Amino acid sequence: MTTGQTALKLLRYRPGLFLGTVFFRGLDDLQPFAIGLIMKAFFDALSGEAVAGFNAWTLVAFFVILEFADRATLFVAALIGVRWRFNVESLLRKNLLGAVLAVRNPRAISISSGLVTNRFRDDVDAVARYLEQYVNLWGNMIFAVLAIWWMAKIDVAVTAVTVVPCILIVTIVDMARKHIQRYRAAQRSATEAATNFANEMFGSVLAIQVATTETPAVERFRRLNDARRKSTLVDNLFTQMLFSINFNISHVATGAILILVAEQMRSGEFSVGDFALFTTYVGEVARSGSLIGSVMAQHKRAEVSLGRMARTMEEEEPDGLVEHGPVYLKEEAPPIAPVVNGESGRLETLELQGLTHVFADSTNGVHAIDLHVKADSFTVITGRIGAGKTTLLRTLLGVLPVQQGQILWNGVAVEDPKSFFVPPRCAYTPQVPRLFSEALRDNVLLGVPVDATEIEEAVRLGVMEDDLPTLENGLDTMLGPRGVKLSGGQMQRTAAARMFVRRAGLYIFDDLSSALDIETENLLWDRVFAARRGASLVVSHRRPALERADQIVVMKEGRVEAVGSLAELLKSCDEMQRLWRGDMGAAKNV
Amino acid sequence: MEAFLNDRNKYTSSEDGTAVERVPLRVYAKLLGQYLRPYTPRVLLLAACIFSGIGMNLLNPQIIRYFIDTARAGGAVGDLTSAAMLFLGLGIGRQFVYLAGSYLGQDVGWRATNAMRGDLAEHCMRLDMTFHHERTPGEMVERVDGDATALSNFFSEFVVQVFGSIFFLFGVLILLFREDWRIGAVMSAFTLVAFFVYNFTRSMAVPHYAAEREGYSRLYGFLEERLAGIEDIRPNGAVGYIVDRFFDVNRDAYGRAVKSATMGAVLRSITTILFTFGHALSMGMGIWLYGEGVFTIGAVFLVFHYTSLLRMPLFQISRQINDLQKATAGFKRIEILYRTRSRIVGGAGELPDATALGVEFDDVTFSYYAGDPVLKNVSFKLEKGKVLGLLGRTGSGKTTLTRLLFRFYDVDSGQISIGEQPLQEIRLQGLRQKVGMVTQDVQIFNASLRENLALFSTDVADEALLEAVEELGLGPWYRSLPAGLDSIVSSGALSAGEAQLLAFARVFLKDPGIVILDEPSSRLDPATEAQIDRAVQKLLAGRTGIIIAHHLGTVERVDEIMVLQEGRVIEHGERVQLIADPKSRFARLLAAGLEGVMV
Repeated sequence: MTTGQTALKLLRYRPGLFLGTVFFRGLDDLQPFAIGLIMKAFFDALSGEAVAGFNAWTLVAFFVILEFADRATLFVAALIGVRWRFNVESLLRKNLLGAVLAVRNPRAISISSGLVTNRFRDDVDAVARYLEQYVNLWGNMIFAVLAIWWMAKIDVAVTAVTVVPCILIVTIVDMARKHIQRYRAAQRSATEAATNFANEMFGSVLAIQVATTETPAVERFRRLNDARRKSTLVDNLFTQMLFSINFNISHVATGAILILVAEQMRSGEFSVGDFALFTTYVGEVARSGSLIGSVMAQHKRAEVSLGRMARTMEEEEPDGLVEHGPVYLKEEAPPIAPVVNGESGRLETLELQGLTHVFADSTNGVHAIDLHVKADSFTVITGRIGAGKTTLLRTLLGVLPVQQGQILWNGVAVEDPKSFFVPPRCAYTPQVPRLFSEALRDNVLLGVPVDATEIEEAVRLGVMEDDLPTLENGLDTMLGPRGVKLSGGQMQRTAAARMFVRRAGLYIFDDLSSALDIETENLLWDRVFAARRGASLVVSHRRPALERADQIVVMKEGRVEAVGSLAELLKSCDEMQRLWRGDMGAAKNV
Repeated sequence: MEAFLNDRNKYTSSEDGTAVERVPLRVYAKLLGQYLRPYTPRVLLLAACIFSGIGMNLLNPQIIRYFIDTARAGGAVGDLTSAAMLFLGLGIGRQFVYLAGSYLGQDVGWRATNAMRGDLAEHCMRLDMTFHHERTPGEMVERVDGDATALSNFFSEFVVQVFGSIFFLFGVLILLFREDWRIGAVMSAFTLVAFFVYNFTRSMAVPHYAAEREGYSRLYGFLEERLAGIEDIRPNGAVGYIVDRFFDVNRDAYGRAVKSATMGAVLRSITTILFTFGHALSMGMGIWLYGEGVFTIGAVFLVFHYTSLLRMPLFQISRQINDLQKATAGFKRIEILYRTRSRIVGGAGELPDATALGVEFDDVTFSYYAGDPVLKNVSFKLEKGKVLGLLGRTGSGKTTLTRLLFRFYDVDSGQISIGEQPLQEIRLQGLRQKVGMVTQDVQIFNASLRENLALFSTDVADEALLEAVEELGLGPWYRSLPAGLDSIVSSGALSAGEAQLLAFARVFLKDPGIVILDEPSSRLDPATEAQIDRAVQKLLAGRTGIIIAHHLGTVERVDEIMVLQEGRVIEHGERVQLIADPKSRFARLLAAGLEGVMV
């Protein structure tokens, strides 16, 4: 879809609001035409050059009425305009959010969340600004045609002089537009570098305060801001140049009129009224002409922004961005379809056959992984750092693409793991869970409609029940930004509760217990076992998990080294012995 | 806790703008003076551009009047053409003056606000953790960058436009008096009324603009936080829920934007209607004075033209005041930020330059929220050079205890001392330089390895950095980097183990007197852990250490053991003695093996 087609699709989104805005803004744009006529009549009446017509006082009254009417028009235009613009912006934001939540590589989004947020703010704004140009365009074009026609009736030659600058501006902007994109892109990336760093800096206050490097860290922020100033100045100088040409062109044109009409005015062929009309129109016509240039410039900016948003969505084209749909600005969105808590997600067998994902430009990754998970079983994946445990989980969950091999769920091949491994089939707790600045309850539920006993049960399974009384409002405690009011262990157990509140055939824990003490971890596994909710797939290297495992998958350098029970592996697998000793050896020496 | 919440509410209400009062102009003037002074030559050059532009604008209608009257009086064509040429020349000259002025204005504005962004960021980075816990990084960026951007217009445009406009207004009025005192008097009166009306409307819109900005700030804050947590959302089937919540936050922003736009339209209506009367006034006066024979038709044109010209500066002042109102909201928030003082104020004392420093807690009670203590009457003494192993369930206060050593928070009662000096008597930066910490979560910046190691400090020599890198076994990894210390690292490109090792390197470089290891190896596999083991030994040698550990293996090298339970010390003693005493919790813990439950 070209940028033009994209714009068209967006303009058709709320046609009523759009046309309403166009109509009322258009009326306002036409108003100078009437004002010009009144001015001409006024000066002609005053100087006695008018053959017949209204007297000067009546014209003053007309003038006042016209201005009042225009004000009312603009008022309505403003009220409709803001609604139209917010609707369009909301559609863009909604579609962008939907697409971002479905990307293949969510890590790229999460590690640059500040940057991606700029897409929702600045790039959406750039597109909306571009569309606004189309609101302004129509009235101005009609005005320009009417004004030129009227002026030509008075004097064709002089009229030509006023039209030429408009063409000039369009040409200049047209020639210059290839630069706009470059300056703008440079300005954007400089801005992003600065705001993104600020985001990181404020996200790492603790680390920086511990290191007492507040000043040098801020110094870097200052340097990034200075780079941003320079690129903004270049970008702005360029825009201002175009703007000032537009602003001054009416003046230059008036000068040209003066030179041309000197003789005629002396002879009375060109009245003071005519002159007043020309000076009223000439500036407005030039502005209208420059609007075409402005549309082109904004078109370029919008193109850059659309491209950036499309890339964020992992798309070539921004088509999905402009899909029409409700944005619920007036009423609440209808309740979301509840996750089916039932048998539909039951796991009988999960099979990985030769599953492979190798990272670009390296041999790291997971190679030809075979794995068999039975109903209600407990599988632990273990291995040292870099063995590919998390990569395997990420490939299974569809975060990383399956390059070779396949995944079979109850014997049926999974086509799109990304959308398949979700409740009710699968629920997941990542290594470092992320919580949100909402109530603890909402963080656990994330929209799952369950009753009080179910959430209690999930909290109990996550070994979170003893923490509730220590929080100021129990489940209704607001957790603060990114769940900061909880300790690391509490965050992990909240994430566990969040997983358990979802009934799923397969529970995936990526090193859930890393911030838990042994006692809590034991309790957690005991409860998970007692509940026998479904199959569990656990990444861990800790004894409480290893000892309970039905099968242990030992990974080494991206491959499965051995599979078996703990007893078998301790006998037969060197790597397992090493991993096991790592924990045990220490305890013996105490 | 209630007092705390009330306090917070007060804070929020002023942030919402509901309680924002007008900011006196002299406060702005002070701000302007402070941040523009370093750029005096540029500001003067800017003023020169503005004044020559004003001169040209005042001259133009005079030329037209001369032209009309000369033409109607049948003057020489040569005179008319010269006047027209002069008019044309001024138009072209004005182009350059305008561009130069615009460039200079932008430049000065950016320099000034950048200085402000930096100062504000530095101020905030030094505020205590209680402050930062209440705000997302996204929110902070909105405060430090978003509000400063709103103020940037104030710096770059306000001065240019408002001062320029005021001089221009006076110029026009003086020239009108020159035509006829009556027209001058009437238009002066009009201008005065107009100015007061503008000034009156000034305070009306501020709360609405502030509320609008707040709405957007919440929206982007919401998005930023959800995007950061995207990896948790999808596999838990919460995509629909998040989109649903987005609609709620977006709808709230919509309501605010509509109110703000309505208010803006009302204000603009007032100013426009005012000017309609101004124009009608000048036309009426023109008819009258022309009839009296005082005015030529050229003079009527001139008066009308000047009245039109009055519109621009008054409009500019109004627009600038509107923008100022937006800036006022931002300015208020910046003011509040600046006024927010860290509750933690450092002392003047310095810690001795010794490698190891002792630690003492004397009856320390601490709570994040009043009435809900996390640490209760904690007393212990750790001699310098000794290593303490801290055990206890999650939430027992272990992490909190170590955070207090940095004085991120002040205790409710009791006394903490380091090197036999009370914590509050030590200079804050000096204190923090003597305490090193490795946390569970390692902060990696999207920046060069050098910056990540030294955390942006430029005082650390490359040799020292490389030594730390080698010391921790990051050597092979380091040699695989494309640009050495200048290589950009980001959290996505580092494994958890590498990130941990990097955090260790930071502490190595800092060379502190006390080292805190907060569950340092929790996410490392035993093989990698062994690699770090050596490094930990080296780091602890000759230093005082506190290790929070969940693996009993980690505490094998400690001298003392302390067990916390619900914020109280339930056991503290020499490790060897505790092992020897079969009744001690630690001994029982050992007997039960790794999965032994602490009772």
